[in-house]
Amino acid sequence: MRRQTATAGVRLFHLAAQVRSPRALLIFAAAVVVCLTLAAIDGLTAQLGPSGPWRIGYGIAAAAMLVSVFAYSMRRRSPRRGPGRASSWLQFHTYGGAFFLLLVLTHSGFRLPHGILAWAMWTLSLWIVASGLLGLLVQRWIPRLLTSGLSTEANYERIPELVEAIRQEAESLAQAAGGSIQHHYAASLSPLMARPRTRPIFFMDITGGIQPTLRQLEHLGGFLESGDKRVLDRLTALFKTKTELDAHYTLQKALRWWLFLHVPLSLILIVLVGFHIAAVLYY
Amino acid sequence: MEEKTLYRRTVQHRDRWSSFGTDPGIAWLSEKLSAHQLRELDIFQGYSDKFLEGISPDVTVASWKKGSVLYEEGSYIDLAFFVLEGQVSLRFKSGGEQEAASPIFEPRSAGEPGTPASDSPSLPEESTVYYERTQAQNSNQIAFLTSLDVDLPPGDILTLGKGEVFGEIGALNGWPQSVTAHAESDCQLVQIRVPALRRMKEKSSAFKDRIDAVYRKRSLFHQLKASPLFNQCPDSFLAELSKQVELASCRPEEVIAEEGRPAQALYLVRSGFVMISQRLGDGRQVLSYLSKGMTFGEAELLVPEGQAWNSTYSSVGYSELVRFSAEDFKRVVEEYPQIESLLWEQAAQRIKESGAGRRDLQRSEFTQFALEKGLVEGNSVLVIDLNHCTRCDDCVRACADTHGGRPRFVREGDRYANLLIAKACYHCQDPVCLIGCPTGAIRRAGSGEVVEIRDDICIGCSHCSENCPYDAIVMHDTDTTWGPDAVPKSLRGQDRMLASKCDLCYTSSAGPACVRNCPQGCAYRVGSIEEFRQLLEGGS
Repeated sequence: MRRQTATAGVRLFHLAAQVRSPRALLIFAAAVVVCLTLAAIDGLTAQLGPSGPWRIGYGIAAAAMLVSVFAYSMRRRSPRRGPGRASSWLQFHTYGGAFFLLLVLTHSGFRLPHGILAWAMWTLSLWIVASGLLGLLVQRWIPRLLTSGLSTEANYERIPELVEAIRQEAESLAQAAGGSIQHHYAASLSPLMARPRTRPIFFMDITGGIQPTLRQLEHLGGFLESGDKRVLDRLTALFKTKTELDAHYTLQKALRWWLFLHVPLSLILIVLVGFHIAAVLYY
Repeated sequence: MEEKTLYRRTVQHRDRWSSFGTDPGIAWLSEKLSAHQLRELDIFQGYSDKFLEGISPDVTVASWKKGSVLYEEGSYIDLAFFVLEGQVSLRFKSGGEQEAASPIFEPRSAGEPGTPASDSPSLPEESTVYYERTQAQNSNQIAFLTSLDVDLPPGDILTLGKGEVFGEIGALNGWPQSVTAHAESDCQLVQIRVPALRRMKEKSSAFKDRIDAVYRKRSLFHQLKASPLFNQCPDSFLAELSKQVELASCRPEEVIAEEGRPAQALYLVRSGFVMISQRLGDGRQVLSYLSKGMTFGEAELLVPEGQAWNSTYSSVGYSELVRFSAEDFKRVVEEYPQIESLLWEQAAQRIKESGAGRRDLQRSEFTQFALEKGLVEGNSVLVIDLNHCTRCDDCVRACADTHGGRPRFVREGDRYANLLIAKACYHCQDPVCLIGCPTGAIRRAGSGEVVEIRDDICIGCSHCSENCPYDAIVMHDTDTTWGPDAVPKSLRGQDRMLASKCDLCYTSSAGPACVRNCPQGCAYRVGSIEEFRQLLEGGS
């Protein structure tokens, strides 16, 4: 298990280091350098804090960037989809999100904030960027895990229906078979076949650790006559397919659910930034 | 004939021909012709009244103005023309270039934002389909066939007069037209849409013979002349040869030549694909495949005593072949011995390839997969790289948003390594879905290789859906029923179904919505096996 963890860690690092658009990375790096240089000059010439004209400029830029990167989410949900390619929008969303955090930090003078609203915005900004990075990793890692380790491909929405079809076939096979199979199915396989299962083990071991169960089935096969053996072979195949569907169910769920860590809080941040701007203008 | 039916056919005629009314080259279009009026025309003689009445919505007479363009070279048309009066010229402008049609979507240039991942293959991101299928790139080729209905030397003009037919081979096969047709004078033409043409061909062997004769006269001679195999032969010899060769049509999986049987002919592929396989143990190993313009049989026939076929050749889908008998072949080689060395080169190349196919199981497996799944057939196969796909279904949603809420493909299908071949229309080179459509609702979309369905004339018979080997056409209920005047009568009162399939978003300049709206840039439109290989993990 420790070795698997280490291998998974190395794979994650490898995937995170892959750059899908070198040009976007270059633009991002240039923007970071410019921003940090300006911040350094500003730091040498002005009093640190979010109230100077430069700092207000960073704040405006951060707010504008936040709205711009959020536009990707709006585009996805708009039936008209908007101009350009979705992959270009996603690149902007990714790098723009990271740059947004830098602008927030520059705006706050690389200091911890004061006041509840500032704390909330600062924490949310960190959370959103961190969850975005997590999402990036998940989107790089899980597709490869699914493709390299599984022989089936399944649509997430259809998995319950497919599992139900497998369960029905398995139950009817088991009922028509001899006592040994019936007993083993009821005791060991039936609970595993009942419904799609979310199992964290698939993140570490895409096979879902089914080897002990398969060994049991193989052992049982040694005592069966040829007719029941064929039934057992079919049950084994159904069990393997069901396990692969569980892997899809678990991992595709992760691909969907990480968004709940990211999107709702982004909306809250936008609302808070609106309050913040209104407060600054009012006072 | 029931009055309601006659009325409905008149309406159908108007629906099917109304778009021609806007063509500035057309002075007038006839109303629906009666069976009696049709029989007065030479081309419709020998058919029954009932039959002619049935095809009448798909036939019209058009008066074209002098100088107008009937159709352009490279375009797809779903009708044939029969000259009643005047003259029409057919011109071939392209020279040696052969491609299907002008691209609708320009491929992206490398280095633009969103170009494929650094770890992804180097296929252009929007490698959409309309790539130029230059046959000359294929080293196996010994003949250059265009699959077209008229082959002319570049710049040459063929003038057709009263009683001649043109456009029929391209229309019937779904091939692009090889020539541009102009009205040389004011002329009257009978225009026959594909559904009627197919029925006429099925009904009358005389009509079929007439079309084959036109092919031999106008096309085959020039195709032979353009082929390196025969281009040194004098015209008189080729003219004679083109009369003698046999034109063969093969059905899917039909065995053309069987391993171990005596070889008695040389074959040239006119259209479709031919699979080459050999026995291996108890099964068959696929070695390679042949496409348009390639030949087989030369290796066997060149041996003095004749030889048995060393592989089995079978048709992948529907294919058209030209068959040269062993006697004709021997006569050509004896009279023109310089051809023999060229044939030996081809034979050696074929044997070398077969050997490579036998040794390389991975290549053989991939070729078999590509043939079985029809990848060789597709002009635009939707392929998703599962190594990058986050299963977000944005591609499906974008498709649905573009097509009134109903997606035109399913993100499911066969998988090969890291690639998923989605259940979306392949826009086949030889679209079998077109065969049997009673109204011609499914057709080439005109200027490209796109196959589309016209909702307004689809009667939901599901022929296309049943014919499609790739499950890419689905039938859906419109929640309406056919009216009391619907034709054919069997539709009346029935639920109105519609066939639905990918149209490549061809009316949008932005290209297919599925590809454009994939956030990971992992949806591709693939138009050749080579492109597919590039997408495979690590290449092949």
